[in-house]
Amino acid sequence: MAITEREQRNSHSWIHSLRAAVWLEWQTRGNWTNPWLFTLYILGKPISAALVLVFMYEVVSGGKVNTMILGYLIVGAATWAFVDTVMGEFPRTVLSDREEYAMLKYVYIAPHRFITFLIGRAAPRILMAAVAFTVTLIIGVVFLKIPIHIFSINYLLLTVTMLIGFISLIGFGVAFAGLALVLKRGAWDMSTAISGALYLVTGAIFPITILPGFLKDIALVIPLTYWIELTRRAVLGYSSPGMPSGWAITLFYQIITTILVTTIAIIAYYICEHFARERGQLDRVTGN
Amino acid sequence: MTATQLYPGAPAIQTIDVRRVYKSRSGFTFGGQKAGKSVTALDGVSLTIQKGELFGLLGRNGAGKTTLIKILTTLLSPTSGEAYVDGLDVNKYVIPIRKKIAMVSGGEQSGYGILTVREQLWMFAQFYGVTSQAAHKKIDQLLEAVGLGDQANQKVYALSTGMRQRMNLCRALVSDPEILFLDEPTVGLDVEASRIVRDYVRSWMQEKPGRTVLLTTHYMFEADELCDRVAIINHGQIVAQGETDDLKKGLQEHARFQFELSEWAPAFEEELKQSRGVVSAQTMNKKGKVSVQIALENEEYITSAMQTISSAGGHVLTLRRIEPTLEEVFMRLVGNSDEDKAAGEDEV
Repeated sequence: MAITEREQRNSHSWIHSLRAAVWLEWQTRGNWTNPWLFTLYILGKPISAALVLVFMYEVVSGGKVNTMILGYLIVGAATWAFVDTVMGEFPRTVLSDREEYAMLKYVYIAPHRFITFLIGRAAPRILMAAVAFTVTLIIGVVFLKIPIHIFSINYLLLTVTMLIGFISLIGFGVAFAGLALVLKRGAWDMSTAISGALYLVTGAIFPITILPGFLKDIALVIPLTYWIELTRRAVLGYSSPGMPSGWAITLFYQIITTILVTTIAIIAYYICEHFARERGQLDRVTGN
Repeated sequence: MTATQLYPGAPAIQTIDVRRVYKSRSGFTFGGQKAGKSVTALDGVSLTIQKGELFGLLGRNGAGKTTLIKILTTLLSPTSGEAYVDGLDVNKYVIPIRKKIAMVSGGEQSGYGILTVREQLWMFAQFYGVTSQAAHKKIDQLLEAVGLGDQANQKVYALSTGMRQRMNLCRALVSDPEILFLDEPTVGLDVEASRIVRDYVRSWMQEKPGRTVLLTTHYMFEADELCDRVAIINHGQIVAQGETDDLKKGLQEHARFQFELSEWAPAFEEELKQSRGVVSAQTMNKKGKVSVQIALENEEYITSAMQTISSAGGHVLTLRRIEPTLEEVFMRLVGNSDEDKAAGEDEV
């Protein structure tokens, strides 16, 4: 039996949707100003965050700078750009599409899984964060003399841990997007609050060994902890206190926790979506 | 019919005893109903809309129109009852239903402002799997048809309300849906923009047999002009449904006519009242124009009524039959039910 044009086009619609979502995010991110200002916007936040940490460290250390610790801070701050830009924007995408553009309901009733649209929207943000990550590291090397040698970087490990890291970021982001569908008050601040909490416990700026016992246990079930650690090992070549000593076992933990967290996150998203549809929250405008 | 099914000849839309109850933490009012912890937006709605119909759902604000559309477009789950779109259960076949439908809501400033009109439409075409080439061709056709050809490359944020609504109509149609849901599509639009939307909806229906539209509106003339059949919903219940002419006829107990006469004569009214088959007669003299409105037991008595006027010395200039409007039907049904409800509440 011949496939009709409608059937044929619908069989490919999720790919089209993904592509269109990527394109939409790129347009909404980059089309609001001229390219120079947009570049400054992409780079400004992670660089200034890294410099704040460096200045704080310099003040605390009384000017006796340890480049290894400086490297630890810079790589942690650079990696965190992915968390802020990729994960943190998932709930904001839901909220702005629903409240600002009033388009969420139309996108939602298109013949794709809404989760596909959300993942598509995240893709350009990964690219933006990658640029910020690279520039922050370059500034660290050139101006702060952190010990990164371009030929010593373990690029294979960096690539693998980054790819797995993106999966966990998308997993977290999808779960927060689900929460944004059902939450009303405070939904805009949710990602900032959660991101702040993760910043403290995942070893982004200090080793997890200084955390209280229960927080350390929490840190060890969060894939971001292993991701940041493996990024440091790939870039700097040394490990952090409190983490497994071998890169292979650390990567194994990253994979296991990523599978666990991402599975839970997707289930959580679908539960939230179910409740949002059940309660009629998909097209509400809260004014918050 | 209880099973979820897809069968040839299924109605475009079918609802069976659909109820929707909203639960809230704090009290608020919904469609005039005082709400404590729950509000019944739909209360046993049963409708069948055949393919190819332009069906109107009429009701006041908060009557339950939008809630029904949300259920049928898979935005909202019904609390109980069954709802089918093209024979597919809305609770089970969400994605297959979405391939067949599109929706436009009025009274909102929706759109990704940063995109151009063309970009926004292209993006939605992508969501529905339309190839870029086919999408651009379709976009050109649609924009020309609704008078937005010159705005194709304009940013959405720069569009007026009317233009944005026309763009939204194009957004819904760019995927060539089988069933189109229009939720008060002309609310807040000026006369010209409303006319363009109505005209295009009508021509879109005529383009391809089998296309179906469910239109909700509280503009009675709009429903009268566009719809093959209508249902009137009030407090979440369907209080009447049928072809517009049938609903009007159902309202009209007597045949009503209006004469315009050349001159005033006091005897006309009394003579007419005593004439055979005349239920009532009322003479009006307004700005020198004399007219008589009469109600007859049935239209066959019009000849004898005219003879009565002639024999009384009157000269008939014009004669027209007075048809009840959909608005009168609506007011009779909704107004009465409100009075009943109010009376009921008073009694309690």
